[in-house]
This record gives sequence, C-alpha cells and structure tokens, in this order.
Amino acid sequence: MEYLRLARVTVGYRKGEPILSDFDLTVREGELVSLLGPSGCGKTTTLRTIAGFLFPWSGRVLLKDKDYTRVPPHRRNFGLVYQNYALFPHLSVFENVAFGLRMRRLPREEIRRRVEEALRLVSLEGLERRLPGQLSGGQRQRVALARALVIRPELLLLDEPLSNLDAKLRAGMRTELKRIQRELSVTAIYVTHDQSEAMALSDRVVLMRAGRIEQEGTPAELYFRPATPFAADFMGFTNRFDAVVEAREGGELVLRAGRVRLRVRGEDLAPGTEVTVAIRPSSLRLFPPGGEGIPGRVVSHAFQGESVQYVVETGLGELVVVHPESTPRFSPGDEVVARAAPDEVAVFPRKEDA
Amino acid sequence: MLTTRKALLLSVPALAVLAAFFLVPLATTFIDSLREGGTWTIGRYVAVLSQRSFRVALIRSLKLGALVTAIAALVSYPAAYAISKLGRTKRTLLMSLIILPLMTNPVARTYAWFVVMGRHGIINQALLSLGLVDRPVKILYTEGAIAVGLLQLFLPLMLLSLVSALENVPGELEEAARSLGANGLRAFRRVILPLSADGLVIGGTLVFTGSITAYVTPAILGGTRVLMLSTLLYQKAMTLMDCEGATVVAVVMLLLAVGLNALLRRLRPREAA
Amino acid sequence: MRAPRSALVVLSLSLLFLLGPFVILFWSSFGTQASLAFPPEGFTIYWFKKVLGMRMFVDAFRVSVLLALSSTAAALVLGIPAAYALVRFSFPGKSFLELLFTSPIIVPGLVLGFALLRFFTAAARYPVSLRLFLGHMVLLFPYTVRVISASLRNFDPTVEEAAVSLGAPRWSAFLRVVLPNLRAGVMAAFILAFITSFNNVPVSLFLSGPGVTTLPIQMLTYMEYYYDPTIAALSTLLILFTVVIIQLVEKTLGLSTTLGG
Repeated sequence: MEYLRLARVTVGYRKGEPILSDFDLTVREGELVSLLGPSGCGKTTTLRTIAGFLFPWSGRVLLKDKDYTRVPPHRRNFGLVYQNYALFPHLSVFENVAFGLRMRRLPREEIRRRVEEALRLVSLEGLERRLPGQLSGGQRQRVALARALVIRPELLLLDEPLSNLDAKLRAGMRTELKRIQRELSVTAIYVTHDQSEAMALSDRVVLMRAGRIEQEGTPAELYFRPATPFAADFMGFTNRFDAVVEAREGGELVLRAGRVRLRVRGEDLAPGTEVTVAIRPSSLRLFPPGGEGIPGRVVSHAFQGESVQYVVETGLGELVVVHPESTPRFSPGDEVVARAAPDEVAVFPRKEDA
Repeated sequence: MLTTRKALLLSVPALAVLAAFFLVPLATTFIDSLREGGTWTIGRYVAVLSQRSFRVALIRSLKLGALVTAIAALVSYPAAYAISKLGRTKRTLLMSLIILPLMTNPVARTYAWFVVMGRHGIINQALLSLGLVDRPVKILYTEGAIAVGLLQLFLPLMLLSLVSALENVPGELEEAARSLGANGLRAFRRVILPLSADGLVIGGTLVFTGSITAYVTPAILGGTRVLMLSTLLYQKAMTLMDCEGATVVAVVMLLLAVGLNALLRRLRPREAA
Repeated sequence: MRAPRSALVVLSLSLLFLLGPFVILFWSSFGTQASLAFPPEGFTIYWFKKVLGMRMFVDAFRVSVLLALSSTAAALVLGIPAAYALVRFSFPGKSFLELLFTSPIIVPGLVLGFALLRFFTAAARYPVSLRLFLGHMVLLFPYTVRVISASLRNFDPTVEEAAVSLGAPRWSAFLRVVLPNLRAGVMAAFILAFITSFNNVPVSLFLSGPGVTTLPIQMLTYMEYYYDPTIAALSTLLILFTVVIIQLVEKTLGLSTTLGG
C-alpha cells in the first residue's frame, strides 16, 4: 500500500539551483527504504524535504493521502536520527528521550513509562541519568534512536546514522536497527552512501544520482541486475569494456570484444548493438590458458585475507579479479584466461553519456 | 523567502536601536559639519585646519600613535614569543595579569602613573635622592607621559594578538628551520615573522587606532595644555563652547578610525570581522 | 623548544611596566600624608574609610552598577536574536547587517558620545539616565553580538532541528535547547559588556548630567580639584575588584572564551 509519496517535487537551497527537479518517490507502509548514492546526489535534500526542513518550490509531499507539503516540521510527527546523533547536551538521557513526549504534554506517568519502554527497546536501561557527554558513540546513537521512536513516529528518517561508528559497532547496530524497525513495523527512510549498508538493511533501495532516481528495487535486484552503467559501477561492477552483440542464441547473447567472444545471459538486444559490459571482480575466475574466455597475463596479486586480488592485463584493458583463496594460484607473468559466470555480467546498450 | 523574513524580524529591534541612536547621530554630525546657513560648505574644515591648536593636536596624535604602536610591536614580539613557549598554567596566569590594565577602570589605571611620575612621585624622589637633579623634574603633562600611559593600556592588546598568532605557528616549523641551519634570528625572520604577520597587522591597527582616539590617558597625563585630538574635541565642545569646531574634530577622528579599519579589512578580509 | 633568555627578560620588564604602577598605587594608598608622595609615610586605612563614606562616590558607584546592569541586559536582549539571525540564516543584506552590528566598536567612543550629545540636545528632552542607558546599550551591543555569535557557531544546528522534529516550534526549541547551551557564551558576553560599561568614560563623559554621574566621571571631576590619596584608595579598590572578576572569569569560563569571541 502506498504510504508516503513525493509527487513532482522541485526543491533546492538557492534560487534557480534546484537539487531535485520533478522528483517522484513512493514508500510503502512498514518498509525500510534506503536512499543510496554518492555525496551531492540529493539524498539528504530528499530526507530534509520529507522532514519539512525544506519546503518544495513545487510539487507535493503526501502521507496516507494527507497533504504535508506546507506542514511545518514540528507538526509532522516524524522521528529523525542524525549522523552526529544531535542529542541535547544539557539534558540527561531520560530527558532527551522524554523531550518529544513533553512537547506533546503527555501525563508524567505515561512519559516515564514510555521512556523506560523505549530505553529497554534499545538496551539502555540504567543510563537514564547520564548526560550525552558521558556516553560512548554507540550508546549515543541508541539514545538518538530511542528519542525518535518514543513519539511513535509515522515515519522514521535516518540520515547516515551509523557512519560515525567504528566498523565493528556498525555491523552490530545495523542488525539491531533492522530488528527494531521490524518489531515496531515503522516505515523508515534510510540515507546512506554505503552500498553494503543499504543492501543489508533495506526492503527496497533507491539509488540516486544528480537529483534523479537512477534505479530502484530490492537489494538483490540492484546487486545482480543494475540497470545502468552508473548503477553497475556503484554496485561494484568495476571491470568495464565495450563490445558488440554478435548473435542471440536461446536465452543467451554472444558478444564480441576485440578478438574475444563472450556468452552472457541475454537482454533483448539485436545483433549489431554496441554495448558496455560490466563485471564484478568477484564474478571473474582465472584459468590456465586455453578454451573460451578473455586471455591475459597476471600483472600483480595482493593477498586480502580470505581472498586474493589479481590485476590481469588483457586485450580489453586491465581487469581486476578477486578469487576466494588463501594462497595465490597464479603469479605475476602467468598467462591466464578469465571467465565470467554468464548470469553475473551486466550488459548495457551504449549511450553517449555512459 | 520565508527565512529572510524571519531573520529580518529577529534583527529588526537591534536595527531600529542602532539606526536611531547610532547611525542618525553620526550621520547628522557628519552632515552638520558640512553645512552652514543652509548651504553645503567646507568652510568649517578650512577654519579648523587653519588653527594651530588643531594641527598640533592632529600631528601629536599621529606621532604618539605611531610611537606607541612601534614600541608595542618591538616589545611584544619577544614577550609574546616567551609566553607562547610556556606551559598552559603559567600562560593562563600571565595572560590574566597582562589583561589587568585593559579591564581596570581607566581613571584608576591612569591615576597610578601620578604616583610614579608626579612632582613627589617615585621617579622624582629617586632622581633627587641620587642627587641627579636638585628640583623635581616635570614629567606629568608631557607627550612622554601620555605615551607611557597609552603604552600601558595598549601593550596588552598587541601581546594578545601576537600570542594567539604565535600559538598558531607550529613549533616543529621553527625547529625544522633551525635544523636546516638557520640561526635564531633568521628562523625568526624567515619563518615566524611571515606566519605571525596577521597578528601584527591586527594588533598594530588596534593599538594605533586606539592610541589616536583614547581620551582618559591624554586627559589625565596630558592635562589641558598638551592636547591630542580627543582632548581637543572635549575642550572645544565643553569648555570653549565651540560646537562647530568640535564637530569637525569629531568627523576627522571618525574618518581616521573608519579608514584604518577599512584598510585592515582590505588587508585581512577574513579575520577582521 | 624554550624561549631564549633575552625574550624572558623582555617579558619580565613588560610585566613590571604593566603592573608596577598598580603595586605602587596600592602601597601609597595606605600612606598618612595628605598629598600623594612616595615613599608613603606611616600606615592608615583612613583614605579607604573616607572614600567609602563619600556620598558623591557611593552614589556614582550605584549609578554605574545600575547602568552597567541595565544596558548589558538590554544589549543581550537585542544581541541574542540578532546573533541568531546572522549565524543561522542567510539572506540578502546579511553582510551589511554584520558590518553595522560591529561598527559601534570601530567608532571612537568620544565621537559616539559627542554625536549622541548633539542628538539628544537637538531631538528631545530625554532624562539623563535614559541618555546614558541608550548610549551604553549602543556601545555594548557589538560585544554581545560577537560573543554570542561565536558560541552559536560552535553549537551544532542539527541539535536544534532534532528538537523541532520532536514537536518543538522554533522559538520553543531555541528556549529549551539552544539557549541553555549558550549559557557560557551569554555569561562571557555579560561580563565583557558589564566591564565595558562600568569602565566607560568617553560616552558617559558627554551624557552624564546633574545628579546622574557614573563613577569614572565622578573620579575625573574630583581629580580636577583634589590631590589627596582618596582617589588612590578608590583606585586600589577598583583594581582589586577587577582582579576578582578576572579570577572569576578564568575559573568559570576560561579567559580565551571571554576575550576571543
């Protein structure tokens, strides 16, 4: 069911320089949607427009078919979680969480009960009287989350909430965030530039680029079937070369790039179409010379813990290949052939802008 | 835009007060200095400029301002350098001692020099008892006395500017310069001086403008004979009842201060605000 | 790296120059002679008793304190919203406002005092106390704007937004979240402005009038006629007062926060 809708929203900070133009976005009830993209793509602007800190120049913001376009932020009942936590430094943990409830003039007893409940939800019981300055980064983020959830928001807006935490803590908080969001079945919008975070958390990912939606879909759709070269690049399809469609055989396309022939799972492309091919380093495998594939010579290898990264010089340019192995099977100078699993290759008709 | 209206709403009270009790008085003073009998004229300026007392006061103000600024800079560099090398506790203690003259009631501060420079003051007592003079020397009510008083008031300003400038010069830089073979003086000239030039310029402007417009120090230590622009202004306005002349002096002081500040902004567009 | 000995010598001499007169003044305010002389003879606290019993100084002290308190409060009331507008909003004419709001510092105090005297004489019959109040408010305003702006710049705007998102209207978010966190800045601005007003001569000089005179102006007037150590005793008291304030500031806020704004 459609829950939140941005309809043809145009918005920006300076006159004549819109960040979003005629932007559409739909979020369904109870889902967690990530706005993913590089910095400057407009994801934070989108979030601030939804929160009400930016008013659209044109277009509308609708929640459950109610028009929110001109509703000031303090009347929206959306919970916000910031990258830097934005806790009130002069108030205790309890008072931080209670703030929204006090604004709603709830009875004292209810405030106490709901704050305790919220703190239990984020496992912070017993820290009620601390000041934010006396908490660790992870604890602060939990307070920020409890503070946003305790008002029972119609929408939870998260702006890169984990990016100030160290890697280990981040992984833990990610799981917990997902659990809490499921448990409360609160509709959430999550802004991030980290594709692995978006993959791990989201029901749906909206990949943005320069104020537009580049692609939206489930994490698996984006991960395996990027729709554009930009999406492919952002999803880690870092090996790229040009090719021409030679034939269509069954469900597969035969591509020719230089003197190399490649079979990939087929898009509906006519023979003769010029295409860009994109492959993830982990989708390529190296074999001793002979047979089909892209011939080349190993230039270097680097040990990466549970895998080895090879750089291979080929007629199509340098390819990066990541093998899940703990000792390198090939050495610099070795002649090899690189093959890709046919359904892990992305193929795009070539356009001028790509 | 909505935010513009809010911002203006928040600053309107201040804007109104400053317009009424700051801009209007200054503007009318300026305009009146150029008007006589309903027409525009520079007659008042010609009249005041032709007065010897004004020229003497103007030159004296500029001269003493330059002198005080130069001495303050010369003294402050080594002193500020020494402070910047001290530990935190010592530095804080020293800073609170240094700002004492700045924060003290100016009459009390200046009066202290009476006891030092007066007829029966400490200097004259010393000179007499050493037999260097046989009558008390006149020290008060001279340009020198004014300069000393101004220096005590403004040396702290220069010190503060230079200490904060020198704190921003990384110590390693100086060590690097020395390790490359520069001796102390050259390391100073090539590394520290250029990097702290901002502090010198800001401090210098503050001290110079402050010196040429200060009132209490020349009023007490210069008396009614050794006049600077400020004491001349007061004398014209309140003793001689020459309000027109006073207006001209006021405009000259205003232009000097504003001009110097504009010059500072030009030199240091970012920091000056 | 340590400072060379010569630099330390210059520093010591500077301190002697800056503080020496205060020490001498302190000493001579306990002397028994009726005119200032050095070294003072005997020991008495007569001059302190005398000055504390003098109506003219006690009244002027009261005027100065009331004036400093009221004009500082007014400058804060005007300055806090103005600083908020300058720091949090961007709008056409902002740089002009910034310049205007700091310019009373640039204009020589004596010129401001003189211009205000002409204005008050020409415009309307303002009572003397109101003239002083208005003059000092204009004088102090830039200090409050500058110090409050500096501490506002250090306060993360998203914290305020968080309060708004939790249901607080802007003004309420300001009162409940921003202002409590500006406490140090407001205190610093208050002290700086209070001292500036309490010590001011050039503006008060022209605006004081019969019956309403500030302490420094009263001291100047007294010095025109008398040379006894009364003023020395009073000055000693005022210097001690300043020392106490500096210590207080240093202990509670740190000097750099107060001066560096």
